[in-house]
This record gives sequence, C-alpha cells and structure tokens, in this order.
Amino acid sequence: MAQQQGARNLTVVGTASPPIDAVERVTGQAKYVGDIELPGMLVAKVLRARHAHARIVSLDTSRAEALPGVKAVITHKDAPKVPIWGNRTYALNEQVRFAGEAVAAVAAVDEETAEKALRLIDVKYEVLKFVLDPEEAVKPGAPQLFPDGNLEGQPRVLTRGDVERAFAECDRVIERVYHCPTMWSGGMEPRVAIAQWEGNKLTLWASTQAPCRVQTNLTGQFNLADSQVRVIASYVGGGFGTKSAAHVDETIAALLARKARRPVKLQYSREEEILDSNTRFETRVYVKIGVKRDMTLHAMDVKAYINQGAYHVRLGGLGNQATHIYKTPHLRTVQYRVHTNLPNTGPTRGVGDPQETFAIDSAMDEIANEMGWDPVEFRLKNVKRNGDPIARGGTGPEDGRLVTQVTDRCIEEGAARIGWARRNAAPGAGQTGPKARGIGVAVTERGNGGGLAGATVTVNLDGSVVVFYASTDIGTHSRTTLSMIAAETIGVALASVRAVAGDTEVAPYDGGSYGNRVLYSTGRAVDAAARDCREQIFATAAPMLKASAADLELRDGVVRVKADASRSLPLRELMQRRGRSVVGDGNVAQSQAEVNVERAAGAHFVEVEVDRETGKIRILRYISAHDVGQPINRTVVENQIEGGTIQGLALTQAEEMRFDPRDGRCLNANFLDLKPPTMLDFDARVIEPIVVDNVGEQGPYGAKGLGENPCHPGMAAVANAVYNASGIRLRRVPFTRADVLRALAEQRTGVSRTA
Amino acid sequence: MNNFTYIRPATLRDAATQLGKEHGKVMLLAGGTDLLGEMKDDLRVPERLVAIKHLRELQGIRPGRGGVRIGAATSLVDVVESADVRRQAPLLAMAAEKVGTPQIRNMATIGGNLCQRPRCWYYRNNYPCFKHGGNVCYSATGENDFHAILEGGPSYIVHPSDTAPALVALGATVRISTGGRERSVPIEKFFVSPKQDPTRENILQPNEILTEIEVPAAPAGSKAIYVKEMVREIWDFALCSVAAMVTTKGGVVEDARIVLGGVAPFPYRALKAEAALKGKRLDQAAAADAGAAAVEGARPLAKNAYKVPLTQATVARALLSLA
Repeated sequence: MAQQQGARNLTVVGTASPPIDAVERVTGQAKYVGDIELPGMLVAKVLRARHAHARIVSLDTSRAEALPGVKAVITHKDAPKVPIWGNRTYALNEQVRFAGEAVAAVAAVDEETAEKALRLIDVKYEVLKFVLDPEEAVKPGAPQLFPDGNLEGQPRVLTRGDVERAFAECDRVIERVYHCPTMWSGGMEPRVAIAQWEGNKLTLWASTQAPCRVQTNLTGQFNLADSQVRVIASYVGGGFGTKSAAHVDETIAALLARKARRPVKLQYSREEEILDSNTRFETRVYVKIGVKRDMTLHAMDVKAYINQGAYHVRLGGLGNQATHIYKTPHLRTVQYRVHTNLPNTGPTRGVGDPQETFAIDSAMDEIANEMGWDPVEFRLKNVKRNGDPIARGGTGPEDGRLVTQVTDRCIEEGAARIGWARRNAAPGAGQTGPKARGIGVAVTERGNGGGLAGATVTVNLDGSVVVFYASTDIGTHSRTTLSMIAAETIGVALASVRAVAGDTEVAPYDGGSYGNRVLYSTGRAVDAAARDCREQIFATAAPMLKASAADLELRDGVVRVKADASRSLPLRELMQRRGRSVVGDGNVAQSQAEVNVERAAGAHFVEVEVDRETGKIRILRYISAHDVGQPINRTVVENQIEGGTIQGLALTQAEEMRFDPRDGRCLNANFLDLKPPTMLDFDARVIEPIVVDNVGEQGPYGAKGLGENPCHPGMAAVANAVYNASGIRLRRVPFTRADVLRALAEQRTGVSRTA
Repeated sequence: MNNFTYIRPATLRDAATQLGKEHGKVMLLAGGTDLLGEMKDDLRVPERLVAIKHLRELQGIRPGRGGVRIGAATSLVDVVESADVRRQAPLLAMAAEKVGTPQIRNMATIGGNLCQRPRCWYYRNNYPCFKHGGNVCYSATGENDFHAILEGGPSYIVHPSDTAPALVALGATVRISTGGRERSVPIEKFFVSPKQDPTRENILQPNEILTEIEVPAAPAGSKAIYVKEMVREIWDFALCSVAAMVTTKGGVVEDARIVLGGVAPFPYRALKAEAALKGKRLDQAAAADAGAAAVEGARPLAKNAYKVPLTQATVARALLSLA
C-alpha cells in the first residue's frame, strides 16, 4: 500500500495520525450539549408510562402546573399531530405502546422541582392486553397496536431462481433457527436536547448523528421553513445508530421551550436512554440451506421475524448477507416486520447485518461441518468475487457487476494470520480437560453510503482552510478524515485545516452520520468542494504567475508552475493579494444503484476457549480483516475495526434487554444489569486488525466506509469457534453460562431440552 | 428523590440517639454506594440520614491478639491494602478486592458491604415484593437467572456481598451497638434467612449500628482462596462465589470452611462439602466430591439451573487450587 500511496503521490491521505481534536476530547475542553448552559434555561423531565400497552383515559396536570417553579407542562394534547420519524406516531400519544413511553413532560427551574411536578400529574389508564413476541403478534387474536394491525406493510419478499425445485436437487439440506433478542448498545452520552426560540426561529442543540434529519422533523412539527430551524450537534458522545434520526426528545424540548418562553434542556437518564432511544431489533431467522456434493451453495430460503417494537425509526430487517455475499442461484428471503409492545427500535451499528451474519454464517458453518468440508474452503468456493453479479437495487435482479470486491482476500489473509490449519479437524477433537479451544470464521459485507451529501470548504485570506459539514463526528473521527481529504485535494498541510461539524445553518444538507456514509459520501462532497477551491485558487494564481491554470500545481501550501518550480507563490500570499475568500461548493447526490455495486467485505477469525465446567467463553485471539478501500487515516481505521469488533463481541456476552413476561417492563435498563462490556472483557490487545490492500472506485481517494462492518461477524465467528472447540452449537445470543452449560449437558446425555 | 434531613453526628453515641424504632425511616449513610442509588430510584425514602462514615469509633484496622478488628466504616480499598489483613486474613483481602470497581471500593465500606440490599431486578425495579413489604416474590415465576438455588423461599434473592462469605469462612464476629448497649454476634448469625424474615437480610434492629468486625487470624497451616464467577470480568455481582479455607496437617485436611456467595439468600456454609473433605488428601477426587456435596439439596428455579454445575465446578477448582 505504501508503494501505491507513493505511486498515487499522496501526502496526507493514507498516513496515520491521532484525531485532530483528540486533545480537546480527552482534556474535557470539547463542549458536548450537556455542557451548554443558556441564561434562564429550564430543566425538563418526562413522565413515562409503566404499562406496556394502555390508553390514557384522563390526564390532570393542574397540580403540577400550580407547583412554584414549574414553567410549562405538556401532554399529548400539546403534541403536533405530525409523525416524528418512521412510525413514531407523535411526540406524545394518547395510546402508550411500551412501558417507558413518554406521556407528559415538565419544564421547571430546576431538576428537583421538575421531578416533583411529575409526581403531581394524575394519569388514569385503561390498561390493554399486550404482546411482546413477534411471532405471537401476527397470530389472529393478538393484541393490536395499530388500527391496521401489527404487521408493518407487506412481508418483504425477494426471490431469485426456484427455491423449491432447487432444494430437491441438493445433496444436503438443513434447517435451523437463529435468535437475537432485543438488545441495547448505544453511546455513552444519553440523549440530550436544548431548545431555544427567538421569535419564530428555533435553535436546537442535540446529541444526534443526523442534524439535517432532526431539522426536517422540526420544520414539520412546527410548520417552519428550513431557514427557521437551526440544529447544532458539535460533539456527540457516541450514537451507533441510536441517534441517526429525529426522536421525540427534540420535539418535546421545543414544545416546552415554546410554552415556557425560555430555553429548555432535556437530558435523558441512562434508564431513559435505554428504554426510549433505539434498541437493536429482535430477529428470529429461519434458515433452510442446501448444498451440492461439489461444494456449491445451491439454495437458501430465509424467513425472518423482525420485532420492530412499538415504533421504528426505520424499518428494520435483514440487510446484505443472504442476498449479496454468496453466489446463491436459488434464493428466497421473506421478512415479517412486526410491531409489539417492546421499546422503540432503530438502526444500531450494522442494523440487521450482525443478526443476519449470525444466522447465515452460522448456517454456512453448520452445513460445511455436516458435509465434512473445510468452512473456509466452502466459503471461498461460494463467495462472490470481483465482477460477479450484484443487485443494483439491493433486492431486485442481479443487474450489476461487483467492483473492487475483495471478500476472498479478506478470508485468505485472515485465515493465514490466525493459522486456520491449526483448527480442530473435527469439533472438539483432541480437546481433553475442561478447557477446549477452537477456531471459527465468519464473513460479512456491506455497501457504502449514498444519498444526498453536502459540504463547503472555505480558504481564508491567510490560506487557512475550514471544512463545513452538517453531519457529525460521532467518534468515527470524520472531523479528522474529512480535513485530511481537504488538505490532500487543495494541497495544504493538515495542520492548516479545521472542520466545523454538525451545524445545519452553516453547511448544506447532508444525510447524516450513519450507514458507512460520512467518509464515502460526505467525503466525496468535501473532495468536490476542495477541488472547486483549488480551481478558484489556480484561476487567481494564473495571471500572477503568468501561466495557464492548467499548468499549475498546489502542494504543501505553495502554488507552482509544474514545469518551472522557480515560479511559485505561497498560498497565504496569494490569498492576501486576491483579497477575497475562496468558497468551494460540494454537493453530491449518489444513486443507490450507483453505490451498490461497490461494497466492503470483512472476514473475522477467532480462537476461543470454552470452559466446559463453568460455561465461560474466552476470546484468545481475534483477527478482523477488512476491506476499507484506500485508508484515509490508518490510526482511525484501526480504531474503527477494534471498536466495531468489540461492539459485535459484546452481543455474545450480554446486552440483552430483559422484559418481565407478565407486565412487559424492562427489568435491566442500567449498566450494571445490562452488562455492556468493560475494558477487561474484550481486551483490544487480542484484536488484530488487518487492512486488506485495496483501492475503491467511488469514494474519495478510493476510500470505503467502515463504521458498520466490523460489528457484523462477532456473533457468528464466536459461535462457529465454540462449535469447533466443543461441538456445541449456540443459536441464540448472548451466549450465557446457562446456554453453554445446557448445551454441554445435552451433548453428554444426548437429550435435548431446548425446542 | 424525596427530601430528607441530613445529620452528621460527632460521636457514635450521638449517631445512635438519632435512630428510630422503625426500619426505613432513619437510615445510616456510610459509603452510600448502595443507599444513594436506592434513594434515587425511590426504593427507599428515609426521612433522615445519619452520616457515620467519618465517626472515629468506626475507623481503622487494628491488629490484635490473634486477629484484626476492622471498623465498620473502613473503606474496602483500605481492607484490600491493609498489610495486617493480608497477613492475618488474606481471604478477606481477596474477597474485598473482587467488589465492584476501584471507584466503588474507594467509597464503599466493609460494614456497608455486609448490609447492602439484594440486587434482584424486581426489588430494584420497585415491584411490591417481600422486600418492599408485599407478599410475593416476583422472581419465583419470573426472570430468575440470578436467583437462589439453595435455601430460597419465600424470597429467592441471593446475598450479594463478597466479603460476607469470606468473613463467615474466617469465623468473624460482628459488634453491634445501640450507643449504650453493645452485643457481639458470630457473623453466621448476623444474616437471616427469608424463612425467618423475608423483608430483611440481617438481624440489625432499627436502633442498632454495626460498628466493628473482629476477624480471627486464619489458622496456622491454612490456605484460603476467594473465587467469584461473573458475567463480566469486573463491575458485577457473583453468579456464584466461593470462599474456601482449608487447614491441612501431614497432607490430610484437618479443617475446611467452604462458604458460597451468590447462590442463597445468605452466605451459605456448605457443611456437607466441609465434611466431605475432612480427613482426606486434597486431590482432584476429593475436590470433586466436595464440589458435588456443596450443591447437594440445590433446588434451582426455571432459569438458574446452570448455577448448580457452575457452583460445583467453582468449589472443586477453588479447593484444588489450595492443594
């Protein structure tokens, strides 16, 4: 890669350096929304329903309103009858559909008064029957959440070839079910929103990944123009998808601020963040998979129940694994997206791909083992390679051709690094004593970015550069990588570039920070804006250097005549002589079909140790091989791979939200009982990132998105390694001691106690 | 959180005079790592908090004849780092080091660790269960992965303390004061079974303060270990824990104390395991037998059967590590 970088003559892109705002972040100087205090600002608190499903019969706020220090109380009567996002009906609803849903909110002079006021609100409910299980929810007679039923739209069906006929042609067919319950893995910073009205102009500071989406929602809620709503999200303490769209908190804060005529801060507690942000949706995936003796994957039939909870930010579902990763001539996927009385669901890192990778790549492993095949060889035989057909529409016919695809190389490099040949020839073979070791693999892929991307780049009179973009830096270090792109394209040092993130008033529309898109799509917009700047600089410089603009180059902050380096002008001097700033425009609209042919693959290899007496699974070594296209900043790339890998592994250990079956309430909405991993659980030192040498076609400098992918394979890789170590097959996450010990007992006795 | 009166008495006697006759109205505040969280969650709504962490009478680790005396307000980090504790009762230091996180051990006291409330999800979510004065244990037919497999019923909580099993194994004594009257109680008798009183986990009366823990020195020739199985590596309560102390003479087990945490509503002394070990050579077979004996009589609930083999293995391994 270094060679290639040299060949491409890159000076900034492809280097490794700490994030440009690392010092501000670690010294506490970076201002997060929670740090902001406005004069006269009130504190908001939300009253939440304890019932999983109920209708509000009456709501009396008079005693709360009379409490000294209370400045505003709102209920569903105050909420605009405009949907928030996805199907989240209104900011506050007359019918509550999950335990924890907001029913009223108070703004008061301090937290204590606001909390006291909540207790003075008298709500009478008609308690309704509830349903938590997605398969139960679609049965006749199930409690109905919405007038048109619990099933969201039609089942999403994809058909390729003739599955029924194909299974008859197979030499082996197996059927399995894989289950991922509702899980939570959001950011360290709970939701927070500050709303301030100046006349008919609303300014909202929010911890969000998508300021423009929040802006769009607020213009709809309050019937305002884009120019009347400014959303600012400067620093964000993690989002992982849970903050990738508008939510109720922003509208509630704005409603309270308008009613109280004062700025209002609404900050969620950890419990509120877990109950009322976005959870990772439950998936129950039925996989039927058939192979031929020559090791070809011939047919796959996938039926999935997606538990959307009460509301969804975006419809969940399976993403890319069954449809895109393997050459499967006969394929059917059917997805039922079902509403139940569980909390709001939405994208969380990988969206449905971690769950789908768990299902598909476990099933691939199961059938390979049944056939006595090497799971790596089986995957290499069937994985799509560069130039293979791909559905440009995502789910439609395979009308495109994959470009820059290196799934095979991810597998090969990962297998070599972990020493795949060391794995147990048969599951558990040679593993004596209580601790059994084994190696597993899982493969994944995903598309990159897309949608509307925008950025502007300004070159100031002193030659310094500012990048403006309305998406946020949620920890993916887009401030750093986008600044590097601007520095490379214009031809200045990174130190002279600064990035202003997450302000809708100073930057053009940009979708947001989600879906592998900021670097890939917003990065292209930054590159375009920087090229625009460079052209304007050359146009200014040409008469000064008595050369044509086409003969100029700009490197290290100096404009030169390519053929005669003695004719040069430092950018600073040029800008001062020009006497006007340069403003570069970058707006890019990428069609989904255009971006879909370029995808990023990853292969994870893990060596585990299964303690057959205590049920403990330990990760001994973990290889995460990924295609990132051209790395922009190698430090950031490795951080993303490590962080995403750990987040995927966290789903194998805990993070399941547990609900009481009798009342539907979440019982473990806190960090002690939800058990997100600590620094000691998944030691970053056992994770070895491999950046597979590659350059993409469409992203800036050939970069690809990376945020989501490393989170996909952990569950499947660990399950496959546990099988190789011990011969037990885990088909539900998290892999608890109870599950492991039960499976081992069944293995010993030959009696299955699981359904 | 409700309003409350905060009192910072100058002496233990002053503190005791502040206490009431009813549980829950006046509460003692030491490290606060459990109580303040409970108050924020409205699990407890005391009218008055009496601060005791600063009281001179409750401070310090004093080596004495044949053991150490530890003031109840001594922080766990001080217990962990005490040279006297490490020398005379290393089992206690090992157990105290497994509590929570470094931040929690800096704040929390040993007395508080013994008096902390259960971590049952239903108790912590304010269900009207036995612990909150009701007459139901919601876990019995609910989500009971982390509940009791031994001695459960009518409440199925498990005792969450790490130091308690170690102190029971060491045969510690707790001193309890009303300000005027004092009593000493063997620590095994400090904890109560839900069959005696499902609302409480110990014998402290509303007007009493736990002031000191007397820990006898571990017997000469003894070896001890505390093993804690958790979901996470840190910041977690025990799925099961084992405090084991074994005294051998001439290669034969003379005495064994095996106490389990996280599996019963109180620190559970595995008497059958102790008996199984005595007079035997501590080898793999003896350890395995003791492990099996430790869980004899276990009656798991719907979702916690895994704790039986887990506890059995943990006991066996703990013992074998002492061989």
